[in-house]
Amino acid sequence: MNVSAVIVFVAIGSALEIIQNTLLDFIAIRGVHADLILIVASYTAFQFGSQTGQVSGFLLGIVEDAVAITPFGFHSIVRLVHSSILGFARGTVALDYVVIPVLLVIIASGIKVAMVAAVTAVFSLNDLANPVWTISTLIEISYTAAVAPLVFAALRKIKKPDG
Amino acid sequence: MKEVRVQRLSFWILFVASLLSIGWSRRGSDFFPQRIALGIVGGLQHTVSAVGTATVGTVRSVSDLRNLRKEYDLLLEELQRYRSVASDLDALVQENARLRSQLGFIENSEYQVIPGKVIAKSDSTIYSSLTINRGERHGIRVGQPVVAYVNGEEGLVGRVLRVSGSYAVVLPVFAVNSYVGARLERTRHEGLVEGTGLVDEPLTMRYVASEAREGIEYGAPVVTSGLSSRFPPGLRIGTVREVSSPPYEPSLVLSLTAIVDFDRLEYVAILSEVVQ
Repeated sequence: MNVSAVIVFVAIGSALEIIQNTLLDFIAIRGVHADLILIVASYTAFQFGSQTGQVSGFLLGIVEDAVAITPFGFHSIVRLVHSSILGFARGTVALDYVVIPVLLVIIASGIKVAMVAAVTAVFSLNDLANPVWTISTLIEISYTAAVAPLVFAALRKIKKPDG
Repeated sequence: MKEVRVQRLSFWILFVASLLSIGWSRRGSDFFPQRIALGIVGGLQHTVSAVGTATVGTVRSVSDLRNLRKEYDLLLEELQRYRSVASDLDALVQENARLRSQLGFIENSEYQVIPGKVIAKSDSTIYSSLTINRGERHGIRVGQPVVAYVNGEEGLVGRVLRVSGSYAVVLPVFAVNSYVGARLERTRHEGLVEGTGLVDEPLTMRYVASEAREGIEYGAPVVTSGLSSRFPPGLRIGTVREVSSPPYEPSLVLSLTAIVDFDRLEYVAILSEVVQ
């Protein structure tokens, strides 16, 4: 596991999430924001592998859980699973500037939606979490995919895997 | 090989820890690790919010100064001082008006009121919540109603869902899991107001008796009924924008426009116990 990558990307993801919720709250499409934590977690998993990705995803999920109305652990398990799965794609294809970031984020979003639905069903959280199969989910996935190449490019400048 | 084993082991440890945490915190709203996390993240949100406000103010001041230099070289210092004073005064007048309206509401309220500021809004497709800069040490408790004073009216914002020492998470009235006992202010017909989960979507009021239809007017106010102990009666929730009677529902379904403009919400008031 790359500990420095975990620290750097958890700090970046947390900062982006906090800034988005405080200063950039107005940048939303029909009240929906891009899922910046998903982008950071996807980058970390793809570039540094499953082990680093899953720990980063889990910790970023805890940051989300802190101010969420869902039970503590809800986001951490969702982030853990999609980061862990994306980590297996490390080294299979070269990371370009547009197509791969968009694809990774769409795949991660699909896993996230499935996990949210599964955890909601298992723990009977229908009274706490919004339904996932809505137009808002499609907007969020599209918005996140559109933003992904920019965030990936910025993250590449900050930290790349060694070698 | 060893690396793969460690990776699998750590995945399952984190996975099980998350499952246990969900199960544990599902039992009650006061889950200690979440309380600690809210304290830390709430503090960070508060700091970022404050720094952002200060930075925007600074950037605006610098921009003003640059324009003044171009146009008024000779009177630069004096003009700068006047502009700065005027700008500050304008901001102070606006802030004064906002705080006066808050104060007016607070003084007139029959409840013990704790004023607070919204420091973060979390709108995701999974949940919606607001973070406010008031917590247990200010007298905030889980379940307390939260209102705002908007355009001369007090409107229901939601209720406190979770509290740490200095911060609290509020479940807004538009959240999908928000249910408020309500009634039409004029005709007194009762119903249940539900959120749709999205700030831009109207609220839904269900279970309104069919005979109420003729008496319902467009724009009619809907208030809390006070039938549950969760919200005091008479707090404005929204106004009627549409009335429908779906074939599968024996009662009317009203679409409501929320009184509170959540996009512009800055200050709130948390209602504590009723003053006897």
